[in-house]
Amino acid sequence: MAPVTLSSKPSRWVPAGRQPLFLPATLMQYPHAGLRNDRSKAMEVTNEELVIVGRSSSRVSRSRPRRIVTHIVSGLALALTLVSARAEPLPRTILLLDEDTPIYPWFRQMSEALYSTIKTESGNPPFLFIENLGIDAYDAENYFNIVRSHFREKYRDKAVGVIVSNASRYLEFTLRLRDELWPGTPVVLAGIQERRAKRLRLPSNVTGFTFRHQLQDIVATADALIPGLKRVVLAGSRIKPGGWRQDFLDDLPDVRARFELIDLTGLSMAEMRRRLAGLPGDSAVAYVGFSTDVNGEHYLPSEASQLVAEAANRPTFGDSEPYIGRGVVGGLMVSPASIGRVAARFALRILDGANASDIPIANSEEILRPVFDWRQLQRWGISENRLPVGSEVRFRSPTAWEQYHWQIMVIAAVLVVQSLLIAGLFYEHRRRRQAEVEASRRMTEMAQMNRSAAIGQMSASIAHEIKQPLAAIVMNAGAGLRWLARDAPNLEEAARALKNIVGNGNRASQVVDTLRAMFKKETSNRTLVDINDAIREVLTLLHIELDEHEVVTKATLKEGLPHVMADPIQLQQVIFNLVRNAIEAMSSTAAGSRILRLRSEATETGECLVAIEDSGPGIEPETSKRIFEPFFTSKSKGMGMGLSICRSIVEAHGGRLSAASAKPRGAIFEILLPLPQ
Amino acid sequence: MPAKTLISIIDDDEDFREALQSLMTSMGFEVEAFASALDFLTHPNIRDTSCLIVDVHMPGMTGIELHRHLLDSGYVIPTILITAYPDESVRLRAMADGVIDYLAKPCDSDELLRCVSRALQRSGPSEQH
Repeated sequence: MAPVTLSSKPSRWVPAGRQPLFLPATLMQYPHAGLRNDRSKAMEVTNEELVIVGRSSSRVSRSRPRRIVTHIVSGLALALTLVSARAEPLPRTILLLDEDTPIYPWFRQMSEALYSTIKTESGNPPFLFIENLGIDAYDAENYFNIVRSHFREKYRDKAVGVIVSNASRYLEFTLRLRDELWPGTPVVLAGIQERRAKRLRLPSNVTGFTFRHQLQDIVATADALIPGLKRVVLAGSRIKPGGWRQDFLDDLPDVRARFELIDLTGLSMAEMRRRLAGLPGDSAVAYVGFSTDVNGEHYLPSEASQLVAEAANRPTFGDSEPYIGRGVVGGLMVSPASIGRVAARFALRILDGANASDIPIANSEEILRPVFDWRQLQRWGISENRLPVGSEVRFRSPTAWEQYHWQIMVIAAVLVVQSLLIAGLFYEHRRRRQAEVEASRRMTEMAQMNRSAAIGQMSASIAHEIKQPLAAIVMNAGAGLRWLARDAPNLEEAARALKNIVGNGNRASQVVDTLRAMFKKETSNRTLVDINDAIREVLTLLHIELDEHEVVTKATLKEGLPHVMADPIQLQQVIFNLVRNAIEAMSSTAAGSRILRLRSEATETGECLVAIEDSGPGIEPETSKRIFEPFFTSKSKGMGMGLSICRSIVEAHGGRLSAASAKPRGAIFEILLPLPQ
Repeated sequence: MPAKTLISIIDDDEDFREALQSLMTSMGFEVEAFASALDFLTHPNIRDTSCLIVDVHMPGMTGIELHRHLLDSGYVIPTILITAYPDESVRLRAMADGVIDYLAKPCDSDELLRCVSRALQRSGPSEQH
């Protein structure tokens, strides 16, 4: 907390220390700005114990008679003012005096915050006058006179309740304006460096607030965020006594004690940028503001910060909020908006009746805030975890989720729906496939049942055909015996019965012959058949069953084989039966080794060979002889008719069907069919 | 009392029919043989039949159907069924309908004659009325 002394007794500007007054060069050239009668002494005015008293302004005049008049007038005015200040409320107007121009981001942020604060925090918002003095650009003494006369006219009919000044470099200019135009009007100094304020003795009816402004704060931030920091690079305009950063001069020895200091201030912008590009890896840049370089080129401090930070190959730290977003990483920033806000509250307090002299100048913690630029943190790989507690991080790119969460959710929903649809289709496909397999299995079963039924029917009809003559034979034999056994044997009837027995015996034999003939007789549908087509059709018919039993099919079909004369349906039935037998034979074989080999070729003896080979258990030698016998079966189920019928069909075509064991395992069935000559 | 007991035989197989006729004749029965159920039904002497021996499987009306038909018409003729396709369920139904027996071809002549004498015992009392 800075104890700032406000003089209780009227006096004039008095130099009270040995150090020269920290006045801007422009102002120092003009002794009148020094507010002293003695021009030669004005140069020596120090701000260490500067005592400013409102009434003294009356003495600042060029000519003695005029001064006296002015004195009297001012004195009266002051007396009136003092009386009115006690007696009646101040006019509800605020005059904001800015020593720079509106183009400074600093001013914009400060004035906007001030305006919005008086608007929102007062039930009766005062009117705001704003004057941007732009003193830098002018010869200060002449300019003071011009401004004074201009304002005198301008504010002739305007009452000013309180003056808010952001003056720091031209503090005296501002106060002198107050003294000559609005004597006694309370002044709020909006944001003044703490150490500088300690050196000031302010005139009456002046209050304000201070902030800590130390180079160490910049360096400390850099040190905290940059591991292994060894060098601090000062970049900007030369730090001058009386300048805004004059306090930094006091901090240099301390910084030097801890770090190697590379001073790039006081160079041209181009040269500084060139040198910033080649900084050592253990350094960080402390940007201390830039206005006019040695070539006379002028920059706004905030635009210069961009040029500095962009050129530097190391992170840049600064002290002023307008630099955020202009290349600096951040730091403990002086916030012009906070200054505007606090100044507005001071002004409102005074307008609402507080005496400015009663409000001590105090440090405002609110003005310094840790602010960082997220993009710069990313650029330099600085983790947010290292930032001071309560840091504000600006320009954070919204994450994809933050930016597009609606779109992402919609897309995700679409994807989910799509996935479900696909899953559903897969499920449906799988079900359909299972249904196909099931249907195929049922069809096969049906075929089997039909075949069984047909065989059952056939055996029944065979039984009937044979039983009838047998029944007649038995009955005739019984009748003949009865005729002979009579008391008077009837030989004639007995002979007739025997004759009938002979007839019926022959009849039974005939039935058998007819049955055999039936199997041999099916020659009606013979045509030229491509044996390979027949094999392929069988494989197509059986592909589901082959898949289901995980049988690998390897077909080696000789192309261009002459066609055989055959009943295509019967031929397919034979191949079908043999392939199905092969599949069944391999059911006990391990799933990976179920191999069905099909081969077609022409033999040297002019026959067509079809071989069907499986990798099942093979055929026992004793079995191979009986395998083609009717009703022989090695299987626990089935009618056992298959192979005997197959052989019958092949033989009916003039061919042969043989079975043998395959090597190294399995069975091989070979169909040999004659080729047409 | 009629001179002889009349036995009717119906079978579409001529050889068996003749053999049966010969057997029954040798036993002293009077025999009428028919090739179909319809021939039998159209014959005037149905009422005189004491025993009916009928094949089950015949074109037109089967032996089972004939027996049922006779029952429905009020003719109670002791009936012996003979079949080349013995079927247990058919046999049970037929026995329940009151046939004397259900015999499988080829059948033994002694067995058949025993059935005939059982049939005649059953038909005997009714003839006395």
